[in-house]
Amino acid sequence: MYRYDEFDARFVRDRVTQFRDQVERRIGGDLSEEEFRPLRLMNGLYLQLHAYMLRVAVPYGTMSASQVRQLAHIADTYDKGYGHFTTRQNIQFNWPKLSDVPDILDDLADVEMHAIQTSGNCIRNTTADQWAGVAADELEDPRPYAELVRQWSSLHPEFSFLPRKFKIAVTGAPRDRAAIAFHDIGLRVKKNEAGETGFEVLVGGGMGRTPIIAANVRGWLPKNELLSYLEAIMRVYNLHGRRDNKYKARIKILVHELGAEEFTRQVEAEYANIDQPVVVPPAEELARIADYFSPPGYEELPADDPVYTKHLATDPAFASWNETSVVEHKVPGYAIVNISLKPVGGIPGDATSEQMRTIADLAERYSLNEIRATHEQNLVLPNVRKQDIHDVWLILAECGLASANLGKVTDIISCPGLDYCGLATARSIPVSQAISKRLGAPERQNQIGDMKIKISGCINACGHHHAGHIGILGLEKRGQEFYQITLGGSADENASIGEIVGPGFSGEQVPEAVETIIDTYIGLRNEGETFLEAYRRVGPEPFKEAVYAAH
Amino acid sequence: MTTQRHAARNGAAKELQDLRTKMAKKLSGPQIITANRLHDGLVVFLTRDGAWTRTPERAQIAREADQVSALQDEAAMAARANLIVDPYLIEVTHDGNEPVPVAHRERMRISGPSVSTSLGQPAYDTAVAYPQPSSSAVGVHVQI
Repeated sequence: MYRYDEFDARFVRDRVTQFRDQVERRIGGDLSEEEFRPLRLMNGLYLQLHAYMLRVAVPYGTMSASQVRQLAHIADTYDKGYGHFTTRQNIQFNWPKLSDVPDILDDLADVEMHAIQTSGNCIRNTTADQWAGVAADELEDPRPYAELVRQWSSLHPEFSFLPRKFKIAVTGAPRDRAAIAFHDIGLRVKKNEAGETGFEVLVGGGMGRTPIIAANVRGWLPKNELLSYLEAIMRVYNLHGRRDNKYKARIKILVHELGAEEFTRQVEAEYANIDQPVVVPPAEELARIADYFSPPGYEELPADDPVYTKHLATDPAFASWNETSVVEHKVPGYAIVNISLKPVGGIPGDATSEQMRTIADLAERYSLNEIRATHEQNLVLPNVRKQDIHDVWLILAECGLASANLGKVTDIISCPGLDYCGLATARSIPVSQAISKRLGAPERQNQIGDMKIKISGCINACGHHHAGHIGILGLEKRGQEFYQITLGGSADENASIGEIVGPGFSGEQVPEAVETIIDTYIGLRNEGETFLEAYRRVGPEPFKEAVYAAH
Repeated sequence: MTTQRHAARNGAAKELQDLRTKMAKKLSGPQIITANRLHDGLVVFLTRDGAWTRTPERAQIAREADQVSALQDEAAMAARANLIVDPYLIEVTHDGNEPVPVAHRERMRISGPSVSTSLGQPAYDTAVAYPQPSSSAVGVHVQI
């Protein structure tokens, strides 16, 4: 894992001191709210529907046990005993007092965390494949480059006041688990014809009110030129991105309006003129960063473990959980253990302080001290020996973290919606809970198979509804919540944007409509065909007919 | 120094005007003023006796333009005194009992999250203590 050097530590601590002074001046009346708002947002502090909300950055979703333990401490000491993992691999606390926030930031700095770049029109926290560095299908660990982007973008004077927020995601595997096509910039590690490793560069993806799949602007880029190329993209955006209309200010609009070809031409022209030696980091610095991501001390183990195999054969509940939660590791004898934060009927992404401490203890004891947050609002223990998986499962089960539903119909992404968010137009969490309860029986979930339901409480699409196999968008009309359903979205390497199925539904009607869609799929699917495959084969009509016949 | 005071007064007047402009929405029915408390961000309502309370039971209701202006002035003063942030008018129905916001969003702000679970404490906590007024809060009635 990356560890702060002297510069990082001082920089973060200085920001806390600076913000403490700003909070004191705000409470004392020396700063007005208008003056203070941009300052608090630069430190991840929002004013939401019911209270302040602090969004803490989890760079590329990687955390240590001590960091997660500190998050639990913050939840208990300054909040209401829980935190909410977000669709950008961050964590939010929903009830901090303004006067406590400097202390929270100091506590975060103690474990090399902060809330910088979690708000505002800057380059936000870079996200990554949650299995980076351990996935069996990965070409190369992308996290050293994510860290490089973090260092390059933090307080970059040229990119601190962009036309709008800017999100970068990176993956080292051909299978896209980081939704890179829906980011302002998506980076995928790729080999060229000569077998050299570099990056494929996508630009101009996004969700919100105008969902767009990113354009491929560079088929292959040498790794050591990454920052120069990103800088060229940012300069074109900074120059031409609209600042007169926030709804047209994201880079996706610029790429769309210029056209991918012209945008790429301008980026390449800028790139050709960049002073490479100034931007490209020295090889020693790259090596220093990469060292932090060297494989942790794996033991030499046989690929198969007899104890693990025996438990799989004799314990059906364990086998069922294992099937959805445990994934092949690139090191023999190890596995990636995924932890669902979606108990049936629960709040997607929420974890209590007790659960966080349990996960921290498990990471320390069984996962070489690492935990990952996923953009699907779950957690990962990335380095578990196969011989330990059963013990891990038993402990997870004790604290309500052993739901065997990852990738299933109840593994729902949901934004906080109108239960917490000041921008939301409708609630999303209760809708996800109702669907989860309706379809949560294990045999029903297994019958349905792979399914991604994603719910947003407003058009800003923080719940990624555009990319849901079944997407649900909450809106408000004449004081009432109603919900639009979209079908056929996907955030993987074959990204697609969901299509609106028809007129909206009340909140109470949504679970039934979703079940009708699912039953229609079950009725028409071919052997082994997933919902997405079936939808792409038959189109929306059978689903429309079924849903609106029932209503 | 005099110039600075003059500038400060001008700044304050502009801020009051900005707040009035922000709050000046076209609402038709009875209205009350809501805001978030500065020190903890919790939702509050301006009452008949000039206090800011966590529930709207005693909220001052304005029906005429001059009453709305008076509410706005009082809210702007409280914002200037750093007690509250982002005050705004909301439309309510009022049949003699507690005023009820027309907008779903505003009803949610009163009821708190509808997804209160076993996680942590109840989300909606009316027992939260009020902040002590700062020295700059002179002239604003604050319920302690």
